[in-house]
Amino acid sequence: MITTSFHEPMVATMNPLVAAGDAEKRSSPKPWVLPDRALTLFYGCPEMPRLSHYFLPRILVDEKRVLYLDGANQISPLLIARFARGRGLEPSAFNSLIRIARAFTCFQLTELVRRVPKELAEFSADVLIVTALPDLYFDEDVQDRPARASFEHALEGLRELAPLPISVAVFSDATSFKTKRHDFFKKLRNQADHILKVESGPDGSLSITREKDTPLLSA
Amino acid sequence: MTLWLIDRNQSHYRLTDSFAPAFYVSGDHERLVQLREAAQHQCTELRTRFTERTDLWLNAPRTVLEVSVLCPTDFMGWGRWVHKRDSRLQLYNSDLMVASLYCWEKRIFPLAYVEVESDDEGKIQSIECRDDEWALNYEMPPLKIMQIRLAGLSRIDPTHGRRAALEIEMDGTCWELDEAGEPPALGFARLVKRQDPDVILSEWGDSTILPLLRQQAERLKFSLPLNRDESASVQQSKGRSYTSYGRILFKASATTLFGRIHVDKQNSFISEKCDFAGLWELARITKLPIQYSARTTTGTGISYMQMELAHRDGVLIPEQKAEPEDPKHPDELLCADRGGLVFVPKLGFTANVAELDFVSQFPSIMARFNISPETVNCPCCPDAPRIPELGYRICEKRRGITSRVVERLIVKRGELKKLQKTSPPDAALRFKLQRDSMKWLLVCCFGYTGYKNARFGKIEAHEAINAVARETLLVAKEIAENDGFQLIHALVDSLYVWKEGATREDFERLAGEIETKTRLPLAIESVYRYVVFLPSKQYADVPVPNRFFAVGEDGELKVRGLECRRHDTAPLLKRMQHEALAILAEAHDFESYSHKIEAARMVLADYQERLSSGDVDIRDLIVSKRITKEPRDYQKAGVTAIAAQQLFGSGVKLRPGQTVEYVITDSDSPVPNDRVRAFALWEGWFGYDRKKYAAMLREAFEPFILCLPKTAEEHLLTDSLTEEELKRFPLFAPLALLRPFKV
Repeated sequence: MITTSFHEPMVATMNPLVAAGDAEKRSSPKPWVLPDRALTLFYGCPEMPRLSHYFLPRILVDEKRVLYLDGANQISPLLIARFARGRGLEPSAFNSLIRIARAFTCFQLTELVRRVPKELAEFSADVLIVTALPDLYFDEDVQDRPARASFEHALEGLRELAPLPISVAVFSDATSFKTKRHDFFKKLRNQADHILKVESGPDGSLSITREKDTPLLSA
Repeated sequence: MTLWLIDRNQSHYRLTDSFAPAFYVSGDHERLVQLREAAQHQCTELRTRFTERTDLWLNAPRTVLEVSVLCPTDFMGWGRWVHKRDSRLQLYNSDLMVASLYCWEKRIFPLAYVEVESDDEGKIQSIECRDDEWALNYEMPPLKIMQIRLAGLSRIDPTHGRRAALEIEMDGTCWELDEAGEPPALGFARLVKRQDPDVILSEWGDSTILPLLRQQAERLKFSLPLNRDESASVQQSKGRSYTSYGRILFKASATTLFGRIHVDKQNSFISEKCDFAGLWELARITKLPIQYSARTTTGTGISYMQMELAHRDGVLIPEQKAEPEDPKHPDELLCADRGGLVFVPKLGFTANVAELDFVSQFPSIMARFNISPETVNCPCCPDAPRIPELGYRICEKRRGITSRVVERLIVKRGELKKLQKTSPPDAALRFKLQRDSMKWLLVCCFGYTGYKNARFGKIEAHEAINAVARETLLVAKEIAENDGFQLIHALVDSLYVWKEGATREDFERLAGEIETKTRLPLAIESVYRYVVFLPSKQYADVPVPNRFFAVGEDGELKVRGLECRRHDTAPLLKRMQHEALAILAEAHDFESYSHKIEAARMVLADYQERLSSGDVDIRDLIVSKRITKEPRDYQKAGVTAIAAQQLFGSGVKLRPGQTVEYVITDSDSPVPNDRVRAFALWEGWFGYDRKKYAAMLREAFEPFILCLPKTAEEHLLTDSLTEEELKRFPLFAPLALLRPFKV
């Protein structure tokens, strides 16, 4: 049976630090929970890659595994350790559940995405987090043609993950760049199952707006 | 290919050679077959064949399509054609410089002594190298060098509005051309034709002199014979701003010639640091075209040396760096992602200190332990020895490309050092410059393992080298302490050690012991009569590495982090510090230092006096600062921003990373435009800010009195500083009361 539905944009407002704790107890809506087996795109405010950290505690507390491809070079092992201690756990409890690989060029990020299936054979992650996609492909030192080709390969790599039992979350600062390669972000949006726009308020609160919600096909 | 040769009689020859550089394509076999068909059917300029080349990371052969380009000038264009046809194919060796590829194939190098056979049309029949790029003392071609520059202060960028006569010098004869007589371009053209130099050595030739001369020649409708090769036109590339290690820099435009070499001293790091001897050495060993070698980074040089080795080994050279980091757990990342080890210095004056330096430590580690991007965590050696702390494995079956490159450089530098010691002064200087140019290659070879755009880079190699360096320094520290020495300071690859009554022999024994244990070369850089380590400028009790001055046994000074070492300091301040340091260098111990400081204070007083009487050349007050954004983008009226905007307002195009020079005129003026004056716009202006420059002089003198007891300090404070100024100089906090400075 195929079901379809149309979702109105949903807005949730919270303080991220509080939400990291409180959200774990909520059932709906769950802005700090990643949808299962889907590609979710988070974008909007600057420092999105840093925001990705706040999705980790809920995942790790459930002893799920995370593969984190960090194109933004923003991952903070110290913050992850703090999350663990904040929950009365040793940092090693969280550390053993995450594997991180950083990319410093768009070509490296593409290569990392393409290697995910191979990496999953060694480390069966439940969640894949990718940062700085497509931000890293905006590098002016990289010519348009190779940047475009590399980005297409990365998108293809993400498409190939769809049949696998893994949630994919992309955290992007793309909208804060002045670039001629705007279409990269559009393509990523088209490919994403869910799109959440994150905006920060003047009081430090965050609002998360659901802009796209594609339900999974179910038999 | 066109080759320019020069014989011992200074006659030059233009010869041509046929050459078909090849690149390689890898991918799905069906796609490669399609590409081959397209290449064969659609054009006659390509030759293709399937062949095998080695994959660097897997160390295994891979079937690739070799595409040879019969017209070398189209080499890169055909690479783009392949990409455009099928972006899924991976290209190798496709974006290399054709001139270097030619050198690799023919086994020659720039400035090599060669034997050539050619036909009547100048077509090369055979070319044989009768030279060795690794030779130490080689014969140089007898190049005729013409120097061109603008009269006046050479360090001021003429694009900021400075206009002066053109000075030309060759074989000791000087000519001066200015707009008062015939157009300079005409006179210059005549001189170039008559003198026919092999090399034009300019100052600001890239961005100003040659473009202006060309424009004038164009206006007057005559041809400027800059190129010897009349079939080619002068190449002019655009300047650009870029970011490196968090700093915004500017790479000026370049004007390069055919059949003649143009080097701009103001746009060539290597010729500025190491003169022609260094530049020639670099061009020979990197096999990069000389004009390119003069303007590019030493990182590109080391990359090309690696690529040549890879090319010889049949290893595929990727277009881009795509080898990513291996996934690791957060705690592993925290452990691996660290730099060198630093032990903060003991503040103040310490007598009889030895500085022990690991010689070219990072390159030595790479060579000694075979650390190269492809040898770290290789797939072939699961039981190989591991790197301390990190547990990374190092390949035991093959020698790494980077390790091989640095090993040859280290050996050659060592041999040059020996030669330098036994040679007469002229030759010794040449060997020193050759060594210095190689030092810059070695300096960057470590950083390149972690550089994002290095083709043979891999972050794990970078981390492994750092881990070994940390371990080595710890071992050295333990040995020193076991032998009763006290570690005064250690910074990545150097240690400053002290022991009561220690002699040079004691320090040598310690160095030998550390060298034996670590298996890395260690040398005594110097035994200092004394070292003064200085605190942070912001926090008077916080020690910082690299802010000190020291006097060797022979009175030679070593200074780090003071104003006289900075590029942006006004010459007046630099000179005052140098003069004061020269006096302090006569001291042997703390007592004599305390006496000498009085004489040094006289130097300061003399400078202050000249400043207040207006007896200072305005050029001695020029401050140079690099701008970090476009002049219009500055929001705050800082002095650099004001100077940049003054230049911008007068029509000067400034780009981020460029330097502006200015004189401080009235730093407290409520009108921002009156606070400073861009030096290029100085004409018609008058007066400098005496109070500000006096304060800057006092601040530059501060480091010399910080290690003195409070009484002496008070003497200076009450003499010349107001209470308000005291607040501005927290360094004058009573340091001496907090710490015993004298050892």
